[in-house]
Amino acid sequence: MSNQRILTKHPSVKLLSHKQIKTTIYIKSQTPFVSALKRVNKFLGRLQRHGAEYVSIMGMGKAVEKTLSIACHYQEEKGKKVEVITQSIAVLDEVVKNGDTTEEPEGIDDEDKETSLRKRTVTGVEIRIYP
Amino acid sequence: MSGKKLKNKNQLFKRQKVIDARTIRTEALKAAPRDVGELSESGSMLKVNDFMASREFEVKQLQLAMHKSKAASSTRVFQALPRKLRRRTASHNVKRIPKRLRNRALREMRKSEQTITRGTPAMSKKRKYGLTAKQLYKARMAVKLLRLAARSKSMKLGLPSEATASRHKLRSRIKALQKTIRQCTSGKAGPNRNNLLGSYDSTGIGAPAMRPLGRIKYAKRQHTYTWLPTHVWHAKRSHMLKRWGYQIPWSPTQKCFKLTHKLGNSVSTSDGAMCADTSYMGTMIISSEDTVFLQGVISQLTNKRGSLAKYRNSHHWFEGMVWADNQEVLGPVELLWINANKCLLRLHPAIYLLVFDHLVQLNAEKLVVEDCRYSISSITLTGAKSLNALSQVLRTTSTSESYNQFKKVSHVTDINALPQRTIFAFDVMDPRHLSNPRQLPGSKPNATDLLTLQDNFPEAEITSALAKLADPAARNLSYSNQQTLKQLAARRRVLLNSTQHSNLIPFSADTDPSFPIVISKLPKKESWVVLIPWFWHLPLWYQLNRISRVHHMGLRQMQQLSYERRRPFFPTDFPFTKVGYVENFIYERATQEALWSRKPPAKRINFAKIPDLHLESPVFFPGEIGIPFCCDWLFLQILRNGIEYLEAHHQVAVKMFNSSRTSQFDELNRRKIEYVNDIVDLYRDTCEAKTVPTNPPVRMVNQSLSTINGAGFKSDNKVSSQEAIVTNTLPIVAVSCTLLERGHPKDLARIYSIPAKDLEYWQTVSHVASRPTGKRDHDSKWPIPEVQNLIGYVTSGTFHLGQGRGVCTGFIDAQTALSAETDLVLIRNVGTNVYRIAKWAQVII
Repeated sequence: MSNQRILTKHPSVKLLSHKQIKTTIYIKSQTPFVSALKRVNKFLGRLQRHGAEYVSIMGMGKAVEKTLSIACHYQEEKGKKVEVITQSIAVLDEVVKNGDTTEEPEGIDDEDKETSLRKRTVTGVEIRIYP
Repeated sequence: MSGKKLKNKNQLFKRQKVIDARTIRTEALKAAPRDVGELSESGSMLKVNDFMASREFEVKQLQLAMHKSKAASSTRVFQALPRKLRRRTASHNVKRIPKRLRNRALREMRKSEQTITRGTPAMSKKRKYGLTAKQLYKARMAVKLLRLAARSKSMKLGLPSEATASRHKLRSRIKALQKTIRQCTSGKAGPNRNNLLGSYDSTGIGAPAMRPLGRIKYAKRQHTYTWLPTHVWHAKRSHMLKRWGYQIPWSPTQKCFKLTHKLGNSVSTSDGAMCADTSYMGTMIISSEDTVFLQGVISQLTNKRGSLAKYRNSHHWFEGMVWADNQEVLGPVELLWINANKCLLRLHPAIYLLVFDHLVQLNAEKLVVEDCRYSISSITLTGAKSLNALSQVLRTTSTSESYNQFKKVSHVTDINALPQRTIFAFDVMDPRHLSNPRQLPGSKPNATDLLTLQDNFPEAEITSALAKLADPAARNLSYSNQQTLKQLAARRRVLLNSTQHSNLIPFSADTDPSFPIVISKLPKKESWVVLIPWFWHLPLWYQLNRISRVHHMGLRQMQQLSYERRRPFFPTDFPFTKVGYVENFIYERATQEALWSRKPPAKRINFAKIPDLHLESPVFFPGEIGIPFCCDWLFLQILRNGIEYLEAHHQVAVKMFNSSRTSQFDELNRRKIEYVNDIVDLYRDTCEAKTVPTNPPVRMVNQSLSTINGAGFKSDNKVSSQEAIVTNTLPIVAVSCTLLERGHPKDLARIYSIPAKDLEYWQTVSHVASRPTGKRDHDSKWPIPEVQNLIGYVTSGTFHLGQGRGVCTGFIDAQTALSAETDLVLIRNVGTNVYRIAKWAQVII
């Protein structure tokens, strides 16, 4: 089961709420550190407009470290109240379905193979930065 | 009588208001010496908390002043509205102003003593005099025609062909209408429509379908270019484009580049949706009793891919290429198998008829081809709120598992979080039954719920809804008793008088119409496509556009979104197909050239005089190489093939020219190819022959480069003779390049490979390691490549807002891409001599 090849990794499930969208930042592993700080500052300035109490920044997997270092920046340098919440996030992977391969001709692309979904859990952190 | 003009009371009041607003108070701290020892000339020490309190007070005062000053400067209420809601007519028509601001607006209008209108003035108030007898007669007859048409519609009659054809005179059209009405009233002929709106199903079986007639008033305007169902709506709000037999919305009148980027992409900051009327995409349904035969047809059409089990058995969309009989790529296709005997194709209008004609001629007994261009319409939605917006306007008529699934996931923002195969298909009631789009009770789906989406796929329901959509009779039945707005308003009034207050007119299964809808994810396009019967498009469209933060978009935005997703867009990014080649090489070139030649010589770039473009310039191209107004695929083909020929036939290194030699010809009067300049001369010969090839000089390699063995393309496409240089098509691969430095690529930019000797320099440039000053050095002189380093062109490129750097989609020579040691290339915009380092990655279309 676990040695099946992963074809696509789906992102985590995000739900729609205007307030949430305007106060949440998802940190990627490629996100530059300073860009993240600038965005947090921008979001902090607009908190009142959206009636929210805090800006939350989310990071999972490889980006956890960067997310935490942003939290450190706000806690230590800026003296803000920061909360850290750890989470486990379920994500879905598409793997090649192993089943009746009799009908399929040999040598077809991965793209044309039937896939099935598999759940995987990733660790993540949510940081809440209060103004 | 000199001096300033005296201000009136109003002006003085305003002036005082502004002055008041801009005055900033400060707090003078008691700086009296508290301690004798602390006294100094420049002032004295302060306590920390005093200092802090004083600064805080000042910041607050500054903020207050800014706020007051802003309020003081605006005088009219409509100036406070966001850009999107501003209307020019709002200055005299109060109905253009939101209700909560209307009273204030009225007060302001009265104060400035201007005329106030409410709503549009009635038609009867327009002037009717000043017509001659002939003009009056004509005007009256035109009105009469419209009245008769409305009457025949209310009698559920279709319009007679003599009444709609524009070649008939007005009087004969009126006569034809009167005749059909008379026949109906006398009982000789019955009604031939099943609704009062005049909706009917126009499907062509084995032949192109009849265009929808539209309203008789606008019939003449749709003579050459078909209108989409939402044409009038769009014409008021978008710039329109007349192409491929349709009038297509090109781009909304209001600027929306950033909006499209923010809302249309599947990013976590998107909090709205973009929707487009994509009814111009032709839908075709092909069916056959013989399952194997149908599989064969699809297999041949899609180069053995579309008939694979994945697509055939389990309702996966196939998004790939469509191939002509002689193994030529026509363009992209979307294909969905409805059941084993039937499948649905969606094609761009530029290639629709080619494929349709091919299929019709294939085998008339075995294959039934239905042209559903004007009977199935589609809406494309992208952005976080797409599903949510749809769920606000769609209400099912019966209990349906698919609808429940749809409700469940309607709050998921990211289309990519959902499985590859996500289809919802069910019967819905007329969206106009809802007075307002209303949010469904929220559900919080998690990853497990999405798993059930895959596992509990309601196959039977989806198949039946799809079959209903694909059947002409069922589509026609869905229009039965389609109601007019008047009828719906009457029902709503009855509801208001009764005790039960509801947003929804209750659905009665016996009389009210319902129609099948298919909402499906297109995984490669990252967008939702909604398929519905043609005449249900407009009711849905109106409701959809009433939802907040749902915006409409046009073709331009679709192009922008596919650029941002790094996917090529048909036809601009498909130079290897005939349509794309014409678009790229002929259409684009003509436009750009006309733009350029319209400018006076001093104001335009002189393409022949650009210094330091290459190490050595060929004689024919002292400046820019190739045609500067397009991606010159012909030049690239001859250059790449010629260099391959040179490398195969001459042991010495490829050189630009020999100064002691002019062009030479062999005994057959063919040009001797020994230097790069000879290749350029060969290109000139080809251009001068004035036979611009109708077939694209390039062909696409659409498989991953890692799966191609080292032998590459030389074996099947050997350039052995001079003729082959011109005739052999050049294999190209689609790439997406990301600039590593400053600057951004533009459309038509040139892509160069890095000469081996300069590789070290460019690699140091590509490393982001900071310089001693902490900043990058942009002033160093870069080594210039040679003409033979040209390997491809950029078809669309600009600054990518998502990446924060220049990104472009282009095509490069497959042979070079295969043997390339680095993933670095140089990109140069047309008419400049600046080379930018970029990283490329292959894109499989």
